[in-house]
Order: sequence, then structure tokens, then C-alpha cells
Amino acid sequence: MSQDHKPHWYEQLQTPPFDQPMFTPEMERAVLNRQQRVGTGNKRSPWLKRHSVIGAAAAAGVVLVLTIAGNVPGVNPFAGLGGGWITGGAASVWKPHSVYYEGEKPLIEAFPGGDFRAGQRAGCWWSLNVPYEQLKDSSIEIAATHRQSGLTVTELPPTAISRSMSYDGFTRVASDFALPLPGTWKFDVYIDGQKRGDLVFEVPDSDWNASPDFVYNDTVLTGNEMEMGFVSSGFTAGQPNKFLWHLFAGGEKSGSFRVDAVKKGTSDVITILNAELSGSGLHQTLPSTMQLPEAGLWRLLVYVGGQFYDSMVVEVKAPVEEENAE
Amino acid sequence: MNMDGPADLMIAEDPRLALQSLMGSYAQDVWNFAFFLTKNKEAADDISQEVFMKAFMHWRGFERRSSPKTWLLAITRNLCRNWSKSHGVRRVVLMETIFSESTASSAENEYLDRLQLQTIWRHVLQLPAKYREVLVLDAHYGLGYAEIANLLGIAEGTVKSRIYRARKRMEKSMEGEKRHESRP
Repeated sequence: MSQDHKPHWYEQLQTPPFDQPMFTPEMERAVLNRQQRVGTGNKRSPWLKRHSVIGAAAAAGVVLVLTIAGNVPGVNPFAGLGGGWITGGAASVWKPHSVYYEGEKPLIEAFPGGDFRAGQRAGCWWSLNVPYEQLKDSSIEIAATHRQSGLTVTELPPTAISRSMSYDGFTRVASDFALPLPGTWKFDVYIDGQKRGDLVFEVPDSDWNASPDFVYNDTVLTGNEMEMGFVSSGFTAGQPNKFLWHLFAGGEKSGSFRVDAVKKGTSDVITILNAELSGSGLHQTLPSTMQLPEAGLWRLLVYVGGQFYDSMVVEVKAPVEEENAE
Repeated sequence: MNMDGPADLMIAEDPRLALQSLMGSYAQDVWNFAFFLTKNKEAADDISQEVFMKAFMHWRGFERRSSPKTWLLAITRNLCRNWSKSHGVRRVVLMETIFSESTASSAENEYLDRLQLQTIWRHVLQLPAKYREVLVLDAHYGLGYAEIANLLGIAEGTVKSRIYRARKRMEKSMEGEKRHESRP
């Protein structure tokens, strides 16, 4: 077959017209979060369900594919028809590692604060073994994905790399490291929208003692003293409840105020409040109505301006049934 | 690792990883193709995300006769066609406008200016849609004629003749540009 002669200007069309990636990590996350919503209903996605039905047939195919791929250790047969095109051993993707190597050389290292736990801010240093001079015009972004639920959150929004992140031969940025759920978390590190590496941590659960009451100006609040709390008569499952939120220590925060909730023992994170802080004082209040679907212990995760602020645990009462009421 | 070939030999542990991996390998290709077809950044943003959702939903219908890339580009094209229809986009570019100094509407030019596209890509974007799509599939994505025919659902001979015409138009419009530049 005669392949025709390509015009010389074709060469210029081989590179895309844009000098930056146009499909952003944010879009990727949006897709993954939508995919997750499609998948909810069943704890496992419909894909995996189908696999178990055709497992036997799959196993045969897997052997063949494995022979070709040759480097996928310990894959379970049901994973075989995942239909994926993963570049590298899939199981190893989730193996905890706090260092990402590029060849022999450690490229990214993460140092989360000692006793990190779900629902609490531990703080984390991310060291890139690249001199600041090479990164000074770049931006860094870190996305975190929860293995068990598939939830994706922003660990570090796109942040311009600045002089203050410059150290001797490396560059370091800090983030909150406040993950909403216990379990395995993978952190994808992007420089200028391009993925450079990932790190995986096993995040333990924190305690589930309901947050205590404290007194402020003769008012009883529930929450974390002088951090945040609310005045209310508590949560009753399945009905709207009124709360007056108080924010203290963070101070002078403004912007969006979001409350996510997760029930003990589950991994579905639901957003129960999306509001806007109007003031900018050190002590702010915000009236709100929130509702939780089921009785039990729930952790409330509060985000201000998209950043983790604090968390607390509440006990949600079951609604009183009419006929039982005395 | 080669982006095209071996990727589909690998196994994803779960569909989510497969989706992530597909996006990792092809998201820019898909976004760019959506832009080449719609010439609209917002549309490309939406369509490219939709493409991966569709891929996730329909991966079982994907017969591995074509590469994942070709498959994703085909989904992209279908979504772009729907978008163009629903937005009543005029797909006609008159020959005259290509040779005139102002090659596109001023709003579109201004928009392309903001995107700081290289000149050659501007010429591509000014091609009528049916020439534009074959040209980028041939020149940018490096697909074979058979693959392009399969993707567009047209005969291979038609692909060849469209590519031929698309190249001629490109050359004419680039010559026009040169004449324009050499003018005092």
C-alpha cells in the first residue's frame, strides 16, 4: 500500500496548539466524582458486579493478558475484565509509600504530622527534590483519592510556587492533610497540571466521642472550645434542625462555608450545608438549617473557603414516633 | 510507554482506575479534538468530561478492534456534532472569507487571539468542519486512512479525497498569509 507523501507543514501540526494541558486536574476530578455518584447505590460499582458473573471466562482471558503484560503481580481474577488500560501494576498503585521515585532518585516526599487521623488536620510537608529555580514559574496541585469509596478531594488547590517554598536544593509546600475518611488515600501531585508522582498513606480513624458542650458568653455551644461550635437543640434524623454556628479561632475567614457529614462506619460523604460567610470578624456567626438522614454518630467536617477548618462529632437522635409519644 | 499500543494490554484493578488511566493517557487528545471541532473552549471543557463519562458507561460496547484513542475520538466527535446542532453553529465557511484579510468574524478572531494559537492552527480552525476533522486526524493524531474512515463512518476513498482537498485549502490559505505578510 502506498502511503502518500505528507506535506512538510504537517510537522508543525504534530504539537497541539496549546502550550499547556487544557484538560485540567479539576476536570479529571469532576469526572471521577460523577463516576462515583453513578456507582453509588451499590457499594461496589456495576462493573465489578458483572465481573463476578463472568469471572470464569475472565480468568482465562486474564492469564493471557498477564502473559503479555507480564508484570502485574497478584491480580485477582475478577479484576481482569476491569477493562482498564492501567499503565503499571494495578495492585501496587495502592501500596503505601511516602516517597515517590523517579528512577532511582526520590522525587517527591511527604511528611504528614505525626499522629494523623481521619477528620483532623495533621498538616503535611511535601518536598519536591527539584531546586526552586526550576519551579519558580510553576504551580503545584495535589488531589487525594480514597481507595475504598472512590471519593476525590483537593488536598492542595493550585498554588503558585513562591520564594518562601525554596530550600537548599529542594522545594517544599504545606497542606492541611485533613482527610474526611479513614482508609487508603492516594495523593496525586501535579506540577502545572501534569502529574508528576503519587504517594499513598493509610489513614487511621479518629475517635467517635460526641463533641462536648462549652460556654461562651452565657450561651451553651456544642463543638470544640474556642474553635467552632453551634447553638442548637441537636439533630433529629430525617428532619431539618436549626443551628447557629459560631466560628472563633480561625478568625477573619470569609467566603464559602460548607459542612460535610459522614456516618460512623460508612464512607459516604454528604454535604449538608453550603452557605456564605458574610462578615470577616474574628468571631462569626451563621444561622443555618441542617438535616441528617439517619440516627447515630456522625462526623461533621467544616470547610471555609474550600479549605478544611475543623471537625466535630454529633449524635443524631431517632425521630420520636407519633404513636409512642406519651 | 507508548501511548497507543500496549496500554490496553494492561489491567485496571477497578473501573475507576481504568477511567483515571484513560484520562491520564488521552484527556488532552480528547480535549483538543473537541476544541478543533467546536472551536469553543467551554464546549471542549464540557464535552471532554462527558466523553470519559460515556466511556465509563459504555466500555463494554467497546470492541477492541480500534485503539482506545480512536474510540474516544469517535465519542468526542459524536458529542461535538450534537453540540453543534444544538447550538445552531454555522458550519459553512465561505471560500471568499478564507482569502480575504479578515478570515473570520471579528469576535472569533479576537477569541482565537486570546488563546494565542500558532498561525498554522488558525488556518486549520478556519477550514470547513468536514475538512478540518480529517486533517487533524491525519496530521495531528496520525491515524491511518482506514481508522479515519472507521471513525467518521465514511469510505476510505472519501477520506483520501477530503484530505487531499483539505491540504490544498491549507496551502492556499497559508500562501495568502505569506502574501499578506510580505506586503509593505
